[in-house]
Amino acid sequence: MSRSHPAILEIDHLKKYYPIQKGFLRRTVGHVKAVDDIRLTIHEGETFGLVGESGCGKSTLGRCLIRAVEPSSGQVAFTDRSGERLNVLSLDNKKLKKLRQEMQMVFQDPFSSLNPRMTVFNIVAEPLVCNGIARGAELVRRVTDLVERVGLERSHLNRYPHAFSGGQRQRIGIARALATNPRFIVCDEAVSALDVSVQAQIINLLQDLQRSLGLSYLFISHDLSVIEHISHRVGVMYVGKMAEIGETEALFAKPLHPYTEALLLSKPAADPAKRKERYVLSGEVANPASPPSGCAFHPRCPYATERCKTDTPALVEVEPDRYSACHYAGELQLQGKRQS
Amino acid sequence: MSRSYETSSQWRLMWRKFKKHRLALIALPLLLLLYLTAVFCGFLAPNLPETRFVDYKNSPPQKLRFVDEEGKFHLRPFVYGYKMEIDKESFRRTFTADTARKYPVHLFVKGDSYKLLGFIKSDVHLFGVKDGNPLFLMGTDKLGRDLFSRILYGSRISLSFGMAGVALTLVFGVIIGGISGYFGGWVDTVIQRLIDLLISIPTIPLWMALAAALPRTWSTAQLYLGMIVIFSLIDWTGLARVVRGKLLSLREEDFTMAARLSGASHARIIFRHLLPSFYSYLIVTTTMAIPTTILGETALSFLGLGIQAPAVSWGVLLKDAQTLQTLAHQPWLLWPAAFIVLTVLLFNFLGDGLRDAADPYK
Ligand SMILES: Nc1ncnc2c1ncn2[C@@H]1O[C@H](COP(=O)(O)OP(=O)(O)OP(=O)(O)O)[C@@H](O)[C@H]1O
Ligand code: SF4
Ligand SMILES: [Mg+2]
Repeated sequence: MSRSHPAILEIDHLKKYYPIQKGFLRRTVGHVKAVDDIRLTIHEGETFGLVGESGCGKSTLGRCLIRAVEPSSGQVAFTDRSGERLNVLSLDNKKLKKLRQEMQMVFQDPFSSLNPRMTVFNIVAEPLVCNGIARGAELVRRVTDLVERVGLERSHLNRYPHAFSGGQRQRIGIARALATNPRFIVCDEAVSALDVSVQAQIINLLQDLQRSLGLSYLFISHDLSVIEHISHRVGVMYVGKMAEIGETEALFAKPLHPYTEALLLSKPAADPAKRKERYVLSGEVANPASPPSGCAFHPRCPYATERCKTDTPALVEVEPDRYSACHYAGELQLQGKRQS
Repeated sequence: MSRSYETSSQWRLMWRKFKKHRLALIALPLLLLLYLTAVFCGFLAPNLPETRFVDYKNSPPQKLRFVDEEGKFHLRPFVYGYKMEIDKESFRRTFTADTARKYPVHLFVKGDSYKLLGFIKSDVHLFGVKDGNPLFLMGTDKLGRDLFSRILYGSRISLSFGMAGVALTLVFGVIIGGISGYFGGWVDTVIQRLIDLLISIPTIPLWMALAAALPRTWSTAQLYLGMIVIFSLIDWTGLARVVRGKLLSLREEDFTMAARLSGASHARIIFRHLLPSFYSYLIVTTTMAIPTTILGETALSFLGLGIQAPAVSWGVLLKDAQTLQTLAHQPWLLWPAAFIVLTVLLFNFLGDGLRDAADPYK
């Protein structure tokens, strides 16, 4: 999938630092390095899975790409339908609006992502109306198409979101994201709030849409099995940085970063009430406001050496199409997914 | 789940939930009735508020009767006249019912002329007795003025004050809170500190100080407006806080971001996404604030710092009931308090119902 397909999104040195402000005068006393120097390419028609513990910056990264939050620095290049390579971070508002017709987002919370005071029709029609794409009978036709495409019915159009289940709401959100005919969609925990059986339906829908429309996804999830199922390639994030990138199968079978190994060997938290902490890993997640020196993972890494405390490992291609940010990536014999 | 539930809008859902709240459902028409009474007080009151019946000072309420002293039933209600006696020792005049004199109560009686709604001249009263005989359903005060009529007239100031005060509070609160929440940054910080400062001053002394500063030479209308400004200047803080908090949290809601990503303009986001999520909330907050404002006016007028006689408000009327002595001999002077309590209770019931209904999606 990787080299054979042209890139749709090339991310380079992308950073997002949130200032930490204190006191009456709001002095900046430090920064949360939510996204810290990310390099990544996503290809056309590909699903890139992004996984990592809570707070490691997955959402921030996804949002930076469509400038839902403004990145602090870096480069994002998007290849649009006509083949033109756009510098996303330097677009003015008008061009950004145009870009967002091609880049869209599906949100995690099926409740807060739909305005409860609007009908399904108005929700799905909004991007078409705001971008001046369709009106009148044409608008009705397009919205109806979209709604049916995601598996809802024409008769649902006049209903309000409160009348739908979580899975159906997520379908509405997908229909809205599809309205402007995008080529790239950020799915931020798009199935995490749903029951397992409903998750499967939505994942199937996303995969069907990908096949028929040639979509590319950045699929963010904390759920390793979902990521394994849907992704062509996977990125593992730790405290704002990419720890490892690789093809799904290879990465799950033979990780090249100790953090990936730790994630794969961890069990999902048994207590469903503690869904925020989904993995049982030893040690505390590092604080992105003051990440540990050297390799940020070193306080929790069983293979850490003195060198890890001072030298920050760079993300390097260890094997063809396998990137890892560990000094000992090639040498360690790491364990893959537990056979179940 | 019925089809109508699925396609019903916010307002219809709210109404459905509201209807489940019995007390609120009763309070709503009663409050409407009270406000209608205030609007049509000239027609509903049998007497004018300032007319002095010098022969009937401090007379107790008359009972509206259907059965006379002989046990005979009358379809048309009537009242007895007064018999005055003077206590030899205290020289206090006391009135008792004079069963020899019966005054039937008629509908649409001609009496003193008044202006309905301030401009329609009329002398027809909904009910009354003929030939200028006394009809004091709630007694009279020390100048012989009909308390019932005065309460009806007083409701104009007292009830409208709640509405007007809260309306102005709403304007201040929404604008300042909106600025604070929308722009954020140092503007937000300054406004929040100002609010902290205002909140730290105890309200009642502040009201009193400001009300006392209003020139005594002002007309009733000027005093009324002045007091409204005082109230909203003090009251907006709470609302502004709420509006700011709501805006901040709504800005974080995914549907706001979805709208932004859909290409919606700022104006569209504010008017189609943010504000509609607010209406229900503002209505509830406002309803809850009205009784407080009514009580505030009453308190200040009662203390002589607010509306001044000869203008009538419930607070002004209660001023007559300030001493224990008057309370002992003329307990009916407390009737205005009953109206105040009733109004405040009704508003609280209504507010409770609205609060339950405000978020129909929960
Ligand atoms: N608006 C903000 N202001 C300040 N800090 C923020 C802001 N948004 C996110 N952060 C911080 O940035 C870091 C990354 O947050 P982010 O939401 O991207 O994590 P995540 O990987 O998506 O986590 P989760 O799995 O919980 O969704 C966190 O430490 C978070 O506290
Ligand atoms: S660099 Fe060192 S601390 Fe970091 S993952 Fe590799 S071995 Fe562990
Ligand atoms: Mg997230």
